[in-house]
Amino acid sequence: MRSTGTKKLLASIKRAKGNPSIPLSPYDDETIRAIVAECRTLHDEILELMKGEDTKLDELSDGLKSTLVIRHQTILRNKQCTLAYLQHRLEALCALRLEVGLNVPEKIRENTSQLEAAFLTDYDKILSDYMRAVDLDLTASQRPPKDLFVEVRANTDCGEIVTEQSGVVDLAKGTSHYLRAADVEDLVKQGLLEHVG
Amino acid sequence: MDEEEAPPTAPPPPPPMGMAMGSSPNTAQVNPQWTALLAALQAEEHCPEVLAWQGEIVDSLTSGLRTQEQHIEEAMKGAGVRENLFSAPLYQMEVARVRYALNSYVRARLRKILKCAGHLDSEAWARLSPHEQTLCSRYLGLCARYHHAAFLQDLPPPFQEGDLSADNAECPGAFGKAFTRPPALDDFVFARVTKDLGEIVVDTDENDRGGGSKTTRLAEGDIHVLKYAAVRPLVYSGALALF
Repeated sequence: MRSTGTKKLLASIKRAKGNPSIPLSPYDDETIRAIVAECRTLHDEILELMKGEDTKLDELSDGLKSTLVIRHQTILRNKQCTLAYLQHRLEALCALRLEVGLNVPEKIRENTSQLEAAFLTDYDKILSDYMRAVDLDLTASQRPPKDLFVEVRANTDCGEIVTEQSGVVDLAKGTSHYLRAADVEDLVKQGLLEHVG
Repeated sequence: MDEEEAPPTAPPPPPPMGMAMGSSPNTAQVNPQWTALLAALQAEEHCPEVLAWQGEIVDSLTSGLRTQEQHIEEAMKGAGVRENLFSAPLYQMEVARVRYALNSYVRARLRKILKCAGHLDSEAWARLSPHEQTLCSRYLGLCARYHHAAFLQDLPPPFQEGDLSADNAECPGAFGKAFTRPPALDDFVFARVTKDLGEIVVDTDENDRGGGSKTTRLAEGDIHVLKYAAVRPLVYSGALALF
């Protein structure tokens, strides 16, 4: 088998699985192009060997038949590996959407391709429709609730936020507050606030 | 998850705040729907495939939650705020717990549906809620279009997947199989037996040199580690509870 491209893609999936903090590595456009080019070459070779598509398979010699099969299988394998790579990235994006909402961290955002960004927008629509239909906010309460109130410290200047229970709170940098866990869950997820204790 | 401490929950007690202060802990009523949700959640999280949608439980608990939240809100506004300042957080905590369990249940299903979207046969398809079916077919269509735009359209014509019409509401199209994985039915699961089942075939491995299948006696209350594929019908019928 000639392709080292698929190997690269599969290795990338494996690496991403072992590193949950960055579930997406940079989109490997170059390798995918190389794989597409290889598939085309193989396909051209098949057509050439068959001398047009009318040839009956029975008339071919065994050697030629196996050459054809190997080329054909290589294309199929390339296709399968690439699809697995792309799908793995899509699933990571979907999981991310559920985990952190639409605010995808910058370091992951810059690893996605344009098409993937478009996919995420469309998926967001599907998921939002679903959440509206079942009347649940699936991005909320990701962890079992321990306390109703939590102490948080502001890592950055968040300005004033309006909370359901505690009214308006000024989250200046470095200040700590005792607030309803549900009110600040989103901000903690985005890393703007930090749990204390 | 601490089921032992599972809070007595909706349907909510009458306002304000319900629970009589003098009642002993033993008389606290646990809503059967809540126990059922916990069981469904555990089963869903440990089962390799999507189980039947427990719409009744989810609907009743969601509406219960809403009523309970209204009660709490009213109790915190009215004249008796001072008496409720102690008990309200207890109920709010309970609401938060139920909300978490509900969300986890729906999320666990969602995760599995997306993973195996292309491999849901008509039986599995029927186990989804109508909303999940919509979500699933829209998701498959979206993925198919993405794969086509990102990769397949550049391949030689015979290798492009022509059918991108997975968007219709019927059982998802064949192309979905190419990029999603089938559920790992051969996985082993922990199961508690809820009623006497007698001798049950627990392994139907055809490659087994014994040629036969292994059977095990499943008595009520037993806990077994079993191959999921062999005991699927028992899980559906509720005779085995996964945990």
